Order: sequence, then structure tokens, then C-alpha cells
Amino acid sequence: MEAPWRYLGTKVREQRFGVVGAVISGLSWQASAILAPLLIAHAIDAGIEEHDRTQLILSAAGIVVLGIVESIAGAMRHYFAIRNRGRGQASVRDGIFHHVLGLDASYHDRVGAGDLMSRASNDAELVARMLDAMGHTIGYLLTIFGVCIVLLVLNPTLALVVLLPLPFIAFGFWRYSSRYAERTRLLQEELAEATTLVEETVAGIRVVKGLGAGSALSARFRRQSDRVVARALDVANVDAVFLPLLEVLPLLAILAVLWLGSRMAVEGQISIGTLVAFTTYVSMLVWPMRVIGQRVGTLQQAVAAARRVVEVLRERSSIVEQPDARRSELRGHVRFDDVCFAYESARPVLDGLTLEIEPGTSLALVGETGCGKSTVAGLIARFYDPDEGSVSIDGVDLRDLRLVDLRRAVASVFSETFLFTDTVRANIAYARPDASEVEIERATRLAGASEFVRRLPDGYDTLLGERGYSLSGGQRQRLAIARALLADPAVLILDDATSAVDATKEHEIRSALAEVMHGRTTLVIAHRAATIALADQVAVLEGGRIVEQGTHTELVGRSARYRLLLALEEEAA
Amino acid sequence: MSPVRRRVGAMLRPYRRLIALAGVGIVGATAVTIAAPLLLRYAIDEGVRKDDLGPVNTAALIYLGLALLRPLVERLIVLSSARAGERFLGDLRVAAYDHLQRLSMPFFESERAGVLVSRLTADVQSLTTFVRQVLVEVVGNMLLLVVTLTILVFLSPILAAVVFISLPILLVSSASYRRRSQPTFLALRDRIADVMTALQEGLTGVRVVQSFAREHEHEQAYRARSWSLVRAWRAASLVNMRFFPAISLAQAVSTAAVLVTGGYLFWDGRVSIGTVAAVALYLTSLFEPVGRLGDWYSELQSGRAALTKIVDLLETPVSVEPGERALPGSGDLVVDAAHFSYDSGPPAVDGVSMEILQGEHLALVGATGAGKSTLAKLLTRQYDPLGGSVRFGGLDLRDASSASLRERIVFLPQEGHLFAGSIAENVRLARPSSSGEEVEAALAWIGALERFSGLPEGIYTDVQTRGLRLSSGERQLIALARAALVEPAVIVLDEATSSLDPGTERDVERAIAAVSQNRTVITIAHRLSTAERADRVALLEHGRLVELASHDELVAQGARYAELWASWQAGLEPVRPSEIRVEHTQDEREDEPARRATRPQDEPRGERV
Repeated sequence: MEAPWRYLGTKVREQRFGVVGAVISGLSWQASAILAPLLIAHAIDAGIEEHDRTQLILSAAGIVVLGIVESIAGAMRHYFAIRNRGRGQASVRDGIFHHVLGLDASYHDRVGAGDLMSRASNDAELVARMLDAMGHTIGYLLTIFGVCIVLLVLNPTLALVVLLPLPFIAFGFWRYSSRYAERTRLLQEELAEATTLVEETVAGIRVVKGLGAGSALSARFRRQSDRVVARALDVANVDAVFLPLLEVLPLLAILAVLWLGSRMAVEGQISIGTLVAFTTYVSMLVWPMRVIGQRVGTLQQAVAAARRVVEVLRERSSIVEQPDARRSELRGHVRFDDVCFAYESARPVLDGLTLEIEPGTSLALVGETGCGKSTVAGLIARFYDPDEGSVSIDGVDLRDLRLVDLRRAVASVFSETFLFTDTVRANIAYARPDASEVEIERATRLAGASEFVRRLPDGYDTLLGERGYSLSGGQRQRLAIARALLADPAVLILDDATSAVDATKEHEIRSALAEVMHGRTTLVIAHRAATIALADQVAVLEGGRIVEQGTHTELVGRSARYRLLLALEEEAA
Repeated sequence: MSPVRRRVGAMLRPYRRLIALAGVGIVGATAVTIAAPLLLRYAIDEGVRKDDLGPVNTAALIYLGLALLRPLVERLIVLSSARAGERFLGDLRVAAYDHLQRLSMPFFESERAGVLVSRLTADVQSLTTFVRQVLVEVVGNMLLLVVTLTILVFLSPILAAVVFISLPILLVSSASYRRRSQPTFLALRDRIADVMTALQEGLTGVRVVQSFAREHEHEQAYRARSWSLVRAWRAASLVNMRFFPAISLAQAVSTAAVLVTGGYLFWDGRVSIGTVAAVALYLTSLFEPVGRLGDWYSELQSGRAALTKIVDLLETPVSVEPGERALPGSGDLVVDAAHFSYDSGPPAVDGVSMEILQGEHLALVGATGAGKSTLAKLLTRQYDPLGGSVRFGGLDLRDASSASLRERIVFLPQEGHLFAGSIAENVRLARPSSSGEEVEAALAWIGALERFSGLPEGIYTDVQTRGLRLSSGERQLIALARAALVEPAVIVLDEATSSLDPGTERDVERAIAAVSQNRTVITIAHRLSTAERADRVALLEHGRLVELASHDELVAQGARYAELWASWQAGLEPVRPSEIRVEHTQDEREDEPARRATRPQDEPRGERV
């Protein structure tokens, strides 16, 4: 069996209790619905026409009992359907989230958060809808089957005439829902375009307003909105073709009952009760046929969704922990031995890089944009593994270390800081939630953030993130540094971590940075000479190798290349 | 609700013919549905019971006619309701978008961007089912309900009254459903939002999560939320159980009552058996709409909620209304006792007065929160001052037409924001009427044409091309090209704080120098080296203008700016960690020659008039 089907099978098995419950309640719900018209026919034929009071009262009582059964079964069906939907959704979503958290950085570089979000929410929903629909779909299938049997028993001739259009109806609904899904997808694409445009406008509102570009964008949005309307009308056109056709078929069946049935009743071949029952049954078939046709579409969508989910779950992290990985306390002696690395095999980023950072010392990495500085940082945290050569800490190849130990020992601060929707305190204490107040405050002070944190509306309890207080880029970066410091790492990586800090402010936190780096293995990537000069050693990266290394003063003295790199920067600063 | 009705009414007016057509269709469709039991009754009573085939044939013939009419009617409903509905939604979307753009900056700063986006997208989309199906279904089912009841009364008033025996069941269950549904479904929405936030944060912050090895803890926190969503679903299902099952029970009770009563009435000779059969059949058309209306009830509620939110957006007043007059082509920019504060907070700009001469280069300097950005927003009329005025060439900006304002005064924010499309399209955004040559000329003028020509499709390369990923410096260049294309009299520039790689930094500097030529330029300076090159420096503190003169004069004065300058100079000097506590080390002098030697020859100051 194909993987998506297998996946759906697993999900169904996971919810077996709910699915069985839904099927049983769906069956009894429809069974009582099927029996009711029979009792009505009996009440008319055996009770009213025959003037038999007992029969009439008995059938009426039977109808009420069936009504109670139907309503309890209906309630259960409802309960199980929603239960399966909620749980199924959670199961798919949890599975994706769990798996994705374990995937390596290069996967996340390649696949954006938006894509994964859509799989974990939209596709999970589609799978869950199938689980939701299972109970009543099976119930409806039974209805169709049961009604056909009842009709054939009541009167085979009339039944055959009446049932003739049914297969066409089911087929029609299936064609309809697949055509509908296809057109809807096209509509969704246009809607996505419109959404992008709105997002861009809101995100770039300063540009829009600053340049008065509004009218140009309005015209563009209007065109896009027209396209959306056109696509939506395409969907409506599918409705306009199929719905009337599918509406007319059951009417023809009812017509057949009316005409043929009445004639047969005149000739005494069937009773009036049977005639009424036939009419009721035929109208009873319309809705299930319609639903079943649509459920074929639901299933198709669920399979497509399962395929997208399986695609994610199949990904394997290339960063794997060795089974015999060593648990160890790290001191922070970082070594790169002849390391080669490429994101795309054609273009190596690092080409035989050899580099050493003695424990407790700091090294600044300097070079032009795109020369691989951040890659070096990523390799130390083992976000990537080198293609050739080895990266080691304290003489142990990173691949032989437990990932948890390594990540706890190496703390990275990136230029694009990510803060969680939580308080300032929780964000700083992210790596060590049990940290004491004193420790948190110390880390904040070292990162040069304590002053502005104190001035926030609720100090350390101020809520941050999308729904909270918005901080400037520089403030965010300082919180990220505090977060890393609190982890008290053996190796600290500052990857352009002060880029958004105002140059006047950077001066303020520079003494703090110096204290942070003191006695700690630190890799600094920065553009500003003042920050670079804080490091014990400076290495110039070019063409994937270290081309020069020394102290800042030495390099300024002896290297024209270095002066060029920095002096330009200084002029700009 | 009244503004919602008024707006929606006005927006629906162009489609009233389509809506009327749909209404006619619904009436027709209901008639066909209603006709079947009536015809059956006629066939049974007049035909079958009297052994007469004539009425049977008549009934069948009429039904055939109706059955053939039905698809046409259905098509009419689908087409006209879709046309009216989708076009209405399109109008709503465009109106909301246009209005959104006209809203003033405070609105964007107070509302979260995501909320605004979802108004225009998710909320409008959620209305699609609302206008396409819900309204047609609701109207159709209500009509069916009313007509069926009327016919029942007409067929047999007593049997019709008997039908109502089950009404208490429906009333009790629907009351209890309605009481509980609102809070339960709101709670469900909240739980969904919680889970989405947890997912979103885990996924966008995956690097941070992994780099601190917090995967496990993060997943635990997420799972707790995921589980409470499952519980919220369960609560919702329990609420649903209050209403929907009651319908089948009510139908069964009514049917039984109708049959028993009908039997006695028939034996008394007061109703025909055809009538009893027809009433029994009509019960289906009576209870089905009740169930459907229940189904659509929640859709109806959420549709109304979405509509209200969108109309709220449309009703938000545009606080910066454009004037009528055109700004002169050039002139001095005069700030006169301008005063501004956010949400009645402390003043952000407090009685600032200054004259910026045509062609002058002014740097705004001050600590974060000193009022530089707010002043810049007043100068570009993103806000109106609460007191005082801003005038260009003698005309108050409040009286200026929006077109002339944007032609004369351009604001360039820190980061160049890119829109979908090619580089050329992104530049052209500033002046949609300009030709390809003009765009090229603008890029060439700021010295960026060469850089972008090297791309696969030159300046027509799509900015979202895979793997292109323009750097922040390149985005700034595009922003500057936009300004060059507009050729404004005044540029207000928010200097980027983030550092660029040295090569790009230099290109950006040159581009700024190029667009600055012969123009009034006001720069929000984050670097004092920028202030040093300006003609004059304005120092703001707590919203007040404290110093305003040339850099050299201010340094000579030895007041606040001079202090800042000294601290800046110190900040530029590299210091060894071991010597951190010593103020001004010898390194200072050692480093000086290197800086001098590489200062670019084409220093922007020389180009100024």
C-alpha cells in the first residue's frame, strides 16, 4: 500500500475506540431512521384504514421509541465525530511538531516555518475531517443499502424503476466534488496572492506612505481581487452545472413513484401505506447519496494531505547522535581540522579550514559577507556536519558527543534574534528556567540590558513577542546575549550579535562584552572594529580558509587586507 | 450593528437585481419541494381511492413540469447568488484595502500587523460560505418552514396544531444550546489560537530551541496546549449534543401524535386518508429545515462577527485627511512650535521650532525616545502635530493634497521593504507612470544599476527568485532608487542602524550622497559621523530641541552634543579587554593614520551646494 494510505490507516487505528463508536452510533442512528417510515406505513395501512386502534397506538409508540433511539444514537455519533476530529488533528499536528523539532538546521533553512505551519494545521485538519466523517458516512452507506433492500421487499418492480437514477447521482456527486476541489485549489492560489499583497502592504506601510505608492498598490490589489472573484465564480459555475442536474434525478425518482405507484395502487397491487413509504424512502436517499459523493472528495483530500504530512515525517535529520556518544563536561578547546563544507555541492563555502581557539580565549572572525563566517559558527554548534575534516571540542569530534551536552556547552547568539511570547524573565531564563533572580539580573546586566529592562512597563514581567511589547532590534539582541550568558556556556558564539545595537550604545555594552568574553571561549563575528578588537585573536576568512591570524594590533600593523576590511567599515561607522 | 447594516446595504445596492433573482429562485425551489406531498395527496384522494387514473396522470404531469423547472431554478439561484456574493466580497476587500492604506500611522503602530492582515484575508474569506450558502440556505429553509406550516394549517388545522406538541422539546434544547454555545465556541477559538502560537513559535524559533537543547521542554509546553484544544473540542461536541439530537426526537413525537390524531379524525370522517399521509410527509419538510437552520446557525454567527470586524475597520476614521492645494516645487521647511504625544502620554515632540532651508542637510540626533522619529513623521505628515504646524514653502502640510505631498516630500524608512515583483517594479512603485528608461536612470544615478544588471534578468529579475535573496544593503539601494525616481524637494531619511558589509556600506553611502544633491535632506542620524557631515545638527532631548547649529560650532560650544561626540569618538576606538577600565588608551593614536588614509576621495560634503 502507498505511504499516505498507510499513514491514514495508522491514524484510524489510533482512534479505533472513537471510530468504532462512531460507526456503531452511525449505524443505529440510520437504522432507526430507516425503520420509521415502515411504521408510518403500518400505522396508515393496518391502523387507520383497518380501523384497528391497537395497531395504530402500537405503531405510534414504536415511532416514538425509534425517535429516542435515533436521537441518542445521533448524539453519540456527533460526540464521536468531533472527538475523532479533535484527537486526529492533534495526533497529526503533534507528530509533525515532534519530528520537525528534531530535524537539522539545513532542513529548516530549506523549508520555511510557514510551510510547516500549513502542514501542521491545514493538512492535519483535512486528515481529521476524514476521521470526523467516518461514522456518518458508514451510517449513510447502510441507509442506502437498507433502503434499497426495504424498497425491493416492498415492491421489486417499483423499486427497480426508482433506484435506476441512484448510481448516476453518486457518480455525479463524486465528479462534482473532485471538480470542485480542483477549482477551489485555483481559487486558493489567487487568494494566497492577495494575502501576500496585503501582508506586504502592512509590513511595508512606511514605504507605501513615505512614497505615496498607495494608488499603484491599490490598482494592483484591485486586479488581484478581480482575479479572486473570477476564480470564485468558476467554482460557482461548477455548482451551477452539477447541482441542478443532481437535483433533477431524485425528483424523477419521486415522479416515478407518484405516477407508477399511484397506478399500481389503483390496480390494487400496492397499498396506500406502501405508496407513502416509497415516497418517504426515495426522498430519504437524496441526502445520503449527496453526502457520499462528497465524502469521496473528502477522502481524496485526506490522502493528498497525508502525502504532504508523510513527506515531512520521512525527512531524516543528518545530524544524528552516535549510539555510543560520550557524555562529557566540556572546557571549550575548539579545533577545526581541514574542514570542507558546502550547502550546495557545487559551491564549497569552507575549503580546508583549520582553526583553533584555545580554551578561555576569544577569536574574532573577519571577512566579507558570504565568506562563510556564520557557517563556521553553525559548525561549532553542530547545526551542520562538515563534509570533510573534523570539528572538535577538547579533542573530541563533535559527532562523538551527546547532542544535549554539546548544545548546552555551546550558546549561540544570532543577529536575527528570536524572542518567545513570554515575559522578559522567561526569555532570559529560557535555557535555565530554574535560574535565580540574582543570576538573571547578573546576566541582564552583563548584556547591558538591565537599564532598559527596568524602564519597561512591568520590568522583568513585561510580556514580549508578537502579542506583547515590541522592543527595538538592539534591545532584542541584548536580551538574546543575556539569554546565552545565563546558560553559562563553555563556548559562546556571537554571530553579528550586536549589529542592531546603536553604535553609541555598543560603546556602553562593550565593557560588558569584554567581561563576558573574559576567560570564556568565544567566537565573535562582527563588522565594527571596536568590537573585533575586544577579541584576543583575529582571523581573516577568505576563500573558505583562514588567510591571516593575529591580534588586532598586529594585523592592523602588518595586513593591508585587514586594514582595508576594517578601515572602510570605520569610515562608514 | 447599525453601521454594519448601513454599509452592507449600500454595498449590496449595485447587486439588487441579482439578489432579487436569487430570491425568485428560492421561492420557486421551495414551491417544487412543497408540491410533491400535495400532489401525492391529490393522487391518493382523487385517484387511487376512487379508482380513477385521470387525477394520477394529471398529478404526474404537473410534477414532471415542476421537476424539469427545478434545475433551471437551481441554476438561477447558484449563479445569481454567487455573482452577487462574490462581487460584494470583492468590493468589500478592495474597499477595506483602500481604507487600510489611508489610515494614519498611529493605527498601524497600535494594531498588530497580523490582525490587520487577517481582517482583509481570513475574515473576508470566511464570509464566502456566508454569502454563497448560508444566506441562500437560511432564507430557503425559513421559507420552507413557513410555507409548510401554512399548508399544514390549510390541510387540517387540528393536525397542524398537533404537530406543535413537540415544540417544548425544541425550545428547551435550543435555549440550552444557545446559552452554552457562545462561550464554548469562543473558548475553542482561543485554544486554537494558543496552539497556533505555540506551533508558530516553535517552528520559527527552532534554531534557538535547538541551540539551547530545549526541544523536550518546548514540546511538553506545546503538548499541554494541544491537549487542552482536544478538550475544548470535546466540550464543543457536548454542546452540540444539546440541540441536534432533539430534532429527531421531536419529529418522532410529532409524527406519532399526527398519526394517532389523524386516525381518530379519519374514523370520525373529518379528514381524508390522503390528508393524513400528506401531513406525515410534510413533517419531514418541517423538521429538516429546523435541523439545517441549526447547522447554519454557527456559520451565521461567525459570518456576522467577521462582517462586523471588517466594517469596524472601514469605519475607523482616517485621522490624516488630505487637503486640496498643491505644494510649491521648492521652499523652506518650517516647523513652528510643533507639539505631539502618543495616546495622551508624555509629549514625544514638545514645542519644536526650526527652519530648514531649501537644499540644507540637517541631522536629527538624540537618544532613543528623544523624539527624532516622531519629528520625522510630523515633517512627512504621517502624523499631524497636536499643536503648532509644519509648513513647506509657506503652505501648511494639512492643506496640501496627498499627491503633491508625496511628490515633494519623501520618507525613506530604515529598511528597504520589497514587494513581490521585479527590482524595476519595486523602484517604479514610487512613480507608477515612469518608463523603463527612467527606472534605469534612477538606478544609474545612485550608482546601483551595474550591481543589479549582473543578475540573471538584470533589473527585471524577480526579487523572490529562489536563491537571490537581496541583502539589506541592496534593499536600501532600491529604496534610494525610488527616491531618485520621484525627484522630491525634501527627503527624510531614517538611517539604518544595522551594520552592512564594508563594500555595500560604501555603495549605500554613495547612493545617499547622489540622491541628496540639491535637495533638502533630513536624516535621523544613528551615527555621529553622519551628523558630522551634515550642514547643521539638531539635538533633541525628551522631545525638545536643545541644540541646533553646525557640527563644528556645537563641538566648540562644548555642551551636550560635544559630550555625545566625545563619547562616540571613544566608542570607535578599539580597546583591549585587559585595558578596558582605562579611559582613552594609546591605541587611539596608533589607529588614526589607518583611518585617514582610507577615507574616500569623493567625500559627500564636497558635492553640496
